[in-house]
Parts: sequence; structure tokens; C-alpha cells
Amino acid sequence: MNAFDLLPCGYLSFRDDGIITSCNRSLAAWLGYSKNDVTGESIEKLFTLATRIFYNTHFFPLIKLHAKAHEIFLSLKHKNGGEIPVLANAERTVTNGMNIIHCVFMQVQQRKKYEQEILDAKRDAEKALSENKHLHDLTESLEQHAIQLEKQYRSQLAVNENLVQFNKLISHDLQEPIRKIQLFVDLMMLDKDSTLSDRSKTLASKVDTAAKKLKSITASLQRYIVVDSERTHTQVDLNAVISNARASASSNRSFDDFDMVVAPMPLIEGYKNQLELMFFHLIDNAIQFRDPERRLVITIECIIVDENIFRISKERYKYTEHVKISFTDNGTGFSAQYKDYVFELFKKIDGTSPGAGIGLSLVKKIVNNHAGDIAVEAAPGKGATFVIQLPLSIQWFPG
Amino acid sequence: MLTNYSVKENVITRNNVTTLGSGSKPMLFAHGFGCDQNMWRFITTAFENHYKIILFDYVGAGKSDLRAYNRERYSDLNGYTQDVLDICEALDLKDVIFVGHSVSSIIGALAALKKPQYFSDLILIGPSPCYINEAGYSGGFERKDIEELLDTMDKNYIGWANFMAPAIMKNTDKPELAQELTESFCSTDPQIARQFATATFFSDNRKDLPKVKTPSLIMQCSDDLIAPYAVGEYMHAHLAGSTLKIMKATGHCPHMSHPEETIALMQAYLEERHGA
Repeated sequence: MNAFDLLPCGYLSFRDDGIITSCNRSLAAWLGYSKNDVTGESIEKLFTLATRIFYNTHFFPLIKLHAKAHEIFLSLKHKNGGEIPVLANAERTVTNGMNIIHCVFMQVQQRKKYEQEILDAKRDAEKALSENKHLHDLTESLEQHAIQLEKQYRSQLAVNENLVQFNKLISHDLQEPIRKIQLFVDLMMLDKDSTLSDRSKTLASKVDTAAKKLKSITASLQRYIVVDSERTHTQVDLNAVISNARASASSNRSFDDFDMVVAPMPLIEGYKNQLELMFFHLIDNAIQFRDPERRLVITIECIIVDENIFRISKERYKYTEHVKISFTDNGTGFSAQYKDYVFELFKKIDGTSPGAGIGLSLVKKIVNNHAGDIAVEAAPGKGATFVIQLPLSIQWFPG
Repeated sequence: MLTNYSVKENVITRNNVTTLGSGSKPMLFAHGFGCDQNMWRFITTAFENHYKIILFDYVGAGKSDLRAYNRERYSDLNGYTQDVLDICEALDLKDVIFVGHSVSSIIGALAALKKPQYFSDLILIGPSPCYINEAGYSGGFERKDIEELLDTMDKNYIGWANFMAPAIMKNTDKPELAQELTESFCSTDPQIARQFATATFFSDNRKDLPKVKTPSLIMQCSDDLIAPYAVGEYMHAHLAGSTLKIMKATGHCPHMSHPEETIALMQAYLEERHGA
């Protein structure tokens, strides 16, 4: 027997594919094998499961990238299942054109216990330190948040107060003068003793048209504001919501000659009436801007994806399940430059089309009320796809 | 999606993004747990003439900007997925061939699920949607195996635990210190490595596979402990439009241990999909 076999450390050599090309007797004996048992086997056979993972994710990449790995802690596995902790040094050489990794092992039974104690103590210390720091950071950020909240709360109160006033103005104060303008114009036109010229009569009828438009705008504004009054949320079945919305949109436009392909939709927590209104306006919009050259087809697809719920707070992450709905029509579409514009209040791409231009801004508002996101992709003559993401759970709603 | 690193330069520094190659079609290589972009160096040369090759390190790995590490963000795979999406956005990439090793396979699948418009193909080397055995599913590991792995990792960090204090890491007088640590385990911070291990091995993305529509190549090694054959078959069965190739290569890192076979399989697949 040569000195190599008697060395008080384990030795083996293996190839890149993990096959053992040789080993010394000490190593084989530690593990309950003979040298022949070990040679030709995969090195992974000699490792515990955890060490096998570590070998694949760390040890082997390290040797391959740097041609060596020193002082690596590994656990070898005895033939009968026992565990032998070792420190390994490995180096990779080219011998006779072949890549060989030479590896020596030193048993560290005693040192392992000692290291375990240090490690436990270190972990405890780190935990205490990190908890301490965490608490400190939390206290600091809590205070900052409290100040921020106070500021936001104040400005929110002011905004709400304005909104209440504004709503009152639209629904009462503005209505009365509009009604009077219309009334007086009517009286003027109907006055048998009138000596109005034809030109004045034309002008009077223009005043009447403008008053009607003003009335329609204030009515739309009122609808835009009143949406927020829905305060109770429930588990909403989007399948039912979409089918109701289709019925209302068809009847609104007296048009039912189109196809709707709807994938199975999930239940989500939300404001049922708002969600119905949202789909109503999307479908209504698709009907209004259908391409006369082809049959209107609306496709609604959905998948569930994890998205970060923090949109405004920086460096905060909380991924939760969202439903991502793609609403596609094959209508007349529009140019990509309008993709933000279409969601603005009273903005219309086609100035001559009827309607106040409130539909898509309402859709966007409803999405916001559900802490969601909306975007649109469109091309002229091809149609449009609205992508809406809504969280499945209510706890993220604003307000 | 809002990100603080919406500025291109920031993402490039943050993720240590490197681009090489003289082609135009982008090929984005994503390293796995326990390593960094260096692991790809045995195979990227084969693609340099025909593709634009993009390499990067996840935040916390390799030479990424450690200051950008956020425990909340990287507590599960969604945060790593956002790294990939940020890079695609910053470099204005489209129709990317995504090449992911190990856990990056699933990260790539999640990225393609969230932003399909960025990706044309997914090349998945040793993927697994779930490492832990669950009822009716054999992932290959029990929870205690992973706990032991974390323990092994801790023991291998003990030798230089003292160097880990953040104050020293920021010490610009001794850049070689950080350098050495980086090269040793491709991560300078054991806590980050531990969190990546936890995010990786305790993830379960089985429910996401059927939603992915991007065509994919699954490269399954023979005798891979971390992603066993049955897991490769599971991936193939649940990933629509996937091609499964069983490799002669053994182990979990064929792109390092068997680069020729890895390159050949990738080239054959890409030729079939996009022509020579």
C-alpha cells in the first residue's frame, strides 16, 4: 500500500461530468466503500442531498469558472446513510488533454460543532441587530407616513368640499339659468306678436341648440361625479356583469348584430354597478365606432397575474393577484397618438360624433376606484385593445 | 408599471448589463441561483455573430448595484421578474430570445406572461415550476432538504462573515475585497443569497405555466438532481407550444459542463423557429 492511500485525508479526482476517475483508500474507507466501488461512479453519489444541490449551484460553477475552490464546507454520505462533514479544496487541471478536478477532503467533526455554535450565536446577534434596525426604521417611516397622511387627508378634505360644492352647482344652481334660457327662447319663438327678423330667429334657434348642449354636458358631469357614490362592494361575478352590460349597450344603440367572445371571468371584489357601467361604456364605444365594412366582433380575454400593488409609494413592493382583462374590438380604431387623450374628460377624436365624450373617462375613473390600471393599444382601421388590470381583493381600494 | 429605475442608465448600472455580438435579434441570458452572468461565457461566443447578446446580473448577484437591493422586492420571484422587464424596457427590446438557467426559466416565463410583447422565444435550461414535493406532484425535495441547503450555504459563508459588514463593503480603499467575495460565490451578501435561495426553492408557479403563450424550448439534462426528468415532462405537458429536448449532458449546468451539446440544441431550435 502506498503513502497516497494512507494519507490522513480523503482524495479523489473527477471529470466535468462528475464521474470519479480515482480516489484514495482513506476516502473510500470513511464512506464504507472500497476504491473500486467509488471509481467510475458520479461524485454526487457521495454527497448528502443538500450538498448535491450546493454542488450543482455553487461548487461546480465555482471550479468551472475559477479553476479552483478552496475551504468549501460539504457533507459526505456514508454507505449506511451517516453524514461526514468535510472541508474541501478542489483544483481543475488539464492532464493529457483531459480536464480533471482534484479534490482533497479534511474531516471537520469537532470543528463543525464549534462552528455551529459560532454560527448560532452570529445568527442570534444578527437577528437581534436586524430586528432592532428594522424597528428603528419602522418608527422613522411611521412618523413620516403620519405626516404625509395628515397632509393628504387635509388636501383630500378640501377636494371633497370642492366636489360637494361643484356637484351642487351643477345639479341645482346651473340648471335653473339653463332652464330659463331655454324657456325664454321658446317664448320668444312662440310669440305671435313678434317682429323678429329671420336672421334673429336663426340666432335664437342657435341659442336654443347651445343651451341643449350645455344641459347635456352638465348631465354628463353629474353622471361622472355620481359614480363615486356607490359605497358598498361585493363579490362581483364579471361574467354576469359583462352579459348585463351587453344587453344595456345593445338596447342603448338599438344594435345587436355583433359577436362577443368572452373567456370565463373570475369573481372579483368590487363595486358592481360601476363595473357594469365600465363594460357598458366599452361595449357602447365598440358599437358606436364599429367598422361598417365588417361584422363587429368583441373579444374579452383574461389571465390572473401577480402585480405590485404599490404604484405611488417608491421602493415598496407587495405582489398580489390581479385580473388582467384584454378587451378587443375590430372597429375603426384610432391612431396611437390618441392613447392617453381618449381617456380625458369631454375629449373626442371625432368631433362630429354624437355624445359628450364621457364614456372612456368614466371607464378610467372606475378602474381607478378599483385601484387598477388601464391602457389602450389601437391602430386606424384595425380596432382597439383595452388592457385593464384590477386587483382581486378589496383591501387595496382607495378610500 | 412604475419603477424607480425607469431611467435607462440606472438599470444598466444596477443590473450590470453588458451587450456584445454583431447581430440585431436580441438574446437575453439570465443566470440561475448561485451564479452570475459569467456562467454563460462558454456558450455566448457561438451566437455572437448572429445575435445581439445581452448579459446581466440580478440585483444582489455578481457585480450588480447592491444598494438597489430591496428585501421586499426580492422576497419572491416577481421582483426578479421585474429586473428582466426593466432591462427589456430600458434597452427597448422586442422579440427577445430569452435564455434562462434553472430558476431563471420560471422568471422568464413570468416575464413573458406579464409582457408577452417583449419575447419571441423562451429557452429554458433545467426548469422547474416547483421544487418541493406536493400532493400529486414530485418536485424532488422536501422542505427539510432546502433547510439543510441553507445551512450548508451559511457554513460556507462563515469564513468571511466578518467582512460582510456593510461599512466594509462600501470601503472604496479596498475594492479588491468586494471583488474577491463576488468571485467566490457570485454574491457578496449571505443574506441576499439566502433570500434568493428561499425565493427560488420555495416558489410554486405551476398555476402560471398554462397561461404562457410564448413558444419555448425545454432543455432537460439526464440525471439532474435539481430538475429531474419528471419535472421536465411536467413543464412540457403544461407549457403550450413547448419543445422538450432530453440532453446527454448530466447534472444541472449543461451550459458549463457540456457547452457543445447545449449550443447545438439551441441552434437547431432557433433554426427551426426562425430559419438559418
